[in-house]
Amino acid sequence: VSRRISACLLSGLAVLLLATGCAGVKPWERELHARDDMGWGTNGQEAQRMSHIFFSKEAAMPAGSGGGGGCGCN
Amino acid sequence: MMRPDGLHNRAARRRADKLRRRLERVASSGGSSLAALTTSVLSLPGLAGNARADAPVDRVYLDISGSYYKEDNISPSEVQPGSNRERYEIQMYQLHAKTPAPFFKNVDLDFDVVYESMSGGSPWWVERDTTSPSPKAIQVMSEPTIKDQRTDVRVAVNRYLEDGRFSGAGGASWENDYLAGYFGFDGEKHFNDKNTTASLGFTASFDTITPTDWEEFGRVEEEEKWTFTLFGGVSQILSKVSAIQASLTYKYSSGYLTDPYKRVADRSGARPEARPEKRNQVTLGLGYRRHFRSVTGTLQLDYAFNVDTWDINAHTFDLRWYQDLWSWGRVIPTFRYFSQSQADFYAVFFDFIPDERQYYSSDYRLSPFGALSYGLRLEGGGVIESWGDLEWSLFGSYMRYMSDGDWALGDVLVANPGLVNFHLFSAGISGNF
Repeated sequence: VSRRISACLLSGLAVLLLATGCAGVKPWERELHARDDMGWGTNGQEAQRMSHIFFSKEAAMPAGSGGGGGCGCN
Repeated sequence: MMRPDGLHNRAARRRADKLRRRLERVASSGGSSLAALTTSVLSLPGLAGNARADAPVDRVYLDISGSYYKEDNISPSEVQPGSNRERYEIQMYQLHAKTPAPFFKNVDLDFDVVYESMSGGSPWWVERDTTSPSPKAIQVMSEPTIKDQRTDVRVAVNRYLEDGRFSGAGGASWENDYLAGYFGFDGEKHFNDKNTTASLGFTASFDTITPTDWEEFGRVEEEEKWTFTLFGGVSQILSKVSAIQASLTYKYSSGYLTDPYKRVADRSGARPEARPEKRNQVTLGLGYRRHFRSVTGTLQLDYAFNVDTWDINAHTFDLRWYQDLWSWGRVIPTFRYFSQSQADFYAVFFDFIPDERQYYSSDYRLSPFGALSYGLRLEGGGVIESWGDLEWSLFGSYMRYMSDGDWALGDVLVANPGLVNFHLFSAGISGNF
């Protein structure tokens, strides 16, 4: 298991390093990035709802989340 | 578009500088790709504020929504004859407010309240079907008498800097039998002419459980657990229309991680399940965003790989398409596939549990399975100028979730009969003042 966790960490690090090497886009070329659908969080309340449901019904921890609040029993 | 470095006279350069500054403000204030990871860590216990901006709001924003969650009845062929078949249903109400902070510049506040009312029956334990010639499991359900309410309250303070943001949040969640308190910090910084954003976050949670009917069913009387989560990520703008994100999340849980309401059965009868007291989880997340000008639509792709020290591996694929409808609306079809392997102490049923065995569970949530879900969200909105430029929006959404042992990425010999299918309906309204 620790080997899998290490592989996961290393591959994540590699992706992060590769991503930062990309060429820049000038500020005046970024108007489409201002759209909310180009962002990384879905609607806050929807993310909140879905995070809690998946935390209660599945065993995985979603990316970027500590899981859900409450017992999650039943 | 004009390029300022191609201009030769002073007036034109001034105009270009003004345009560039305006676009920079647009890109940084609404550019959630730059504010990329803001909701991530502070969403611990699922309470995310909107990833709305990289600058404080200048008005009060309110989001109110209601949801109805309903699980399908368990199939008659999967349940012990005569047992209850009814499962859970939940009504959920959510309120989010984002407001400028009084007395402080470049600071705003998030308030979230969630109230849930839950009722129904739940999978209790699994037995081997002795009437079946091949290995088959049947579910024993609790009576549909469970009733509980959950309230979750969270407050966050966001401080915006020239090239980043820092936030602190805290909150509590309580049910009849459960109390959780949590706090977290996270921040982000832009680099590379704001093409790259790095984020870091930390959260801690302390939970106490006091199970109902503990004496009658031999449950624990009161137990506790601690959870710590560390998060790091980078988002990168790739082109005028595309961006990528990668993140790593690590979670350490210690204490009572067992579900006190689940039991396991062997030849000697049913007893409370038992899980290890520690768990380490790591999740690698990857995301991609691409806007298509020709159809004014945006593709969102997300993948997450999760591994933990209970030997569970999981893969999650998320696909969303945001299609603009004229100038006032949007339709968003969604698709999700999830697959997990089983925990190393899980078995769908036990013939015999030796005394020296420490951990055992037949909980369907620790079983190997795959899940498919699909949904549709409709949004509409506008601005009422005569009401002080009031911005408003409405949405309605539906999601269907189905799980099955045969849909797992690996082979599953005997699927857990408690696997769940559900419907989720939601609607809400937002506005500013």
